[in-house]
Amino acid sequence: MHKIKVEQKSLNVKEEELYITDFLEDLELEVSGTVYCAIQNFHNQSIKILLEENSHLTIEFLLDLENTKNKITIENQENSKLDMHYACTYKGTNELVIENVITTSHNENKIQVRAVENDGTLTILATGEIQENTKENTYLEDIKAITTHENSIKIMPDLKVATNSVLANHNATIGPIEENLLFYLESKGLAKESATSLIKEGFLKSNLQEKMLKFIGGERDES
Amino acid sequence: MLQIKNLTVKVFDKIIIEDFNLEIKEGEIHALMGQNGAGKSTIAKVLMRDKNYEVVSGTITLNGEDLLRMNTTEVARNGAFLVSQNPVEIPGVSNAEMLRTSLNDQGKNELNILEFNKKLTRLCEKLEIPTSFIHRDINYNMSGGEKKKNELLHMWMLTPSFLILDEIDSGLDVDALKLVGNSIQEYITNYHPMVLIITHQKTLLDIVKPDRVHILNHKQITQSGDASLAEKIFKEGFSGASIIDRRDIDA
Repeated sequence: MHKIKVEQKSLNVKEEELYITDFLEDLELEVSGTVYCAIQNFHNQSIKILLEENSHLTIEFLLDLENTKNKITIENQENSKLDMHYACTYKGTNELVIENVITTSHNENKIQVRAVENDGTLTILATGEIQENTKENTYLEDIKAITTHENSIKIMPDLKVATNSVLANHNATIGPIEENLLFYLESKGLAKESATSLIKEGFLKSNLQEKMLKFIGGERDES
Repeated sequence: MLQIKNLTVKVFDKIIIEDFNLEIKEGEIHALMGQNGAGKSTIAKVLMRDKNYEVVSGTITLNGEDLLRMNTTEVARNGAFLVSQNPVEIPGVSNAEMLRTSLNDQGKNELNILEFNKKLTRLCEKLEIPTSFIHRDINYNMSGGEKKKNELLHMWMLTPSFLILDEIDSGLDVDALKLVGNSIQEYITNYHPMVLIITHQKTLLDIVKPDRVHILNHKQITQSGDASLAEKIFKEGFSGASIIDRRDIDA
């Protein structure tokens, strides 16, 4: 596992697996070929992702947000693919901005966000724009959050589609922990607190790949 | 011992169970049968203290303790274990994580991690499920048969003293049904739990022989008898068997 602390402003990656423990400034990530990137810390910073032609980036975040403003900007060149899995807990006042303006064709972007409230608020502004004169793009945005009260999260989707040749979808689900899941775990003898904590962790973990969990697990063991 | 006396239950303001009585002694196996919608699963959910089921009147005691004063966790820690018709899926929570947490929460985890995994591995082999199930998310993307075997994996690890099997046999093919039935029977032989089997099918009751069979009809038990009552139901259906007088069966 190649773990790095990024100190420069931009990073060109090609056919790599990257495990970023920290980056010091706003980061520009230029991707070619097939790349996997896991990010553990991301506080009051922005990432600009540039996907070169025919590239495929899988990028995963597992974050504990606390009074944090994050921005993720995505740019696609022709025939590129993005799988983004963003999982977080949030405490205090937080903001996440995702911007993806698609000006080229044959791209496939899937953005999944999973958030769990930990006594705080989170505002998500998700802007997707598929411009005219583009064709056969796929843009899927799926945001789910577990909250204890409705006002703790505000999701503002802003999906603009200026072409007919596109598959675009936005989905957002907000709610408390499902009662039937709690009942199931309690019926196996788990205390309510343990059951709640397992369900919340599971909700975030189910949005991430095994290698991300190993990375995070390793980091926690080392600390 | 389980004692249910004059139990009336409502769900969303509708009475589902009325003046229901049942007693299961230590080590006894009881089968509860009845037509679809008769309220059999309601009994299972009430016993596990599902909040959606409101007890209007009556009493339930489990091993002398007032079950209606317990929450779901406490009922489970008093030995009850429910396998429902369609066990829920919990993404991101593995069987091993859940079982270790449950045993730890109850102060019953006497095994170190290696022994714990070894025990799970042996049980997977016995239940004819891949050992990958140990770290698979609970019931997630599993077939109906796999889910039921997965629930039995939990049963063998948590060693409950009161099994509530709510149509555990539904959706199983012949081989899976035999395996599930034999595993339950083996568990009964080893641990002598009280058992309440809710079923429509003959095969499970051929393997796990009930001491008593009850028919739930019109919100309460209308007939009780030995295993021959189940035979009669399977032959004649509920409408045919309902002409039998309860006293004849009990005699």
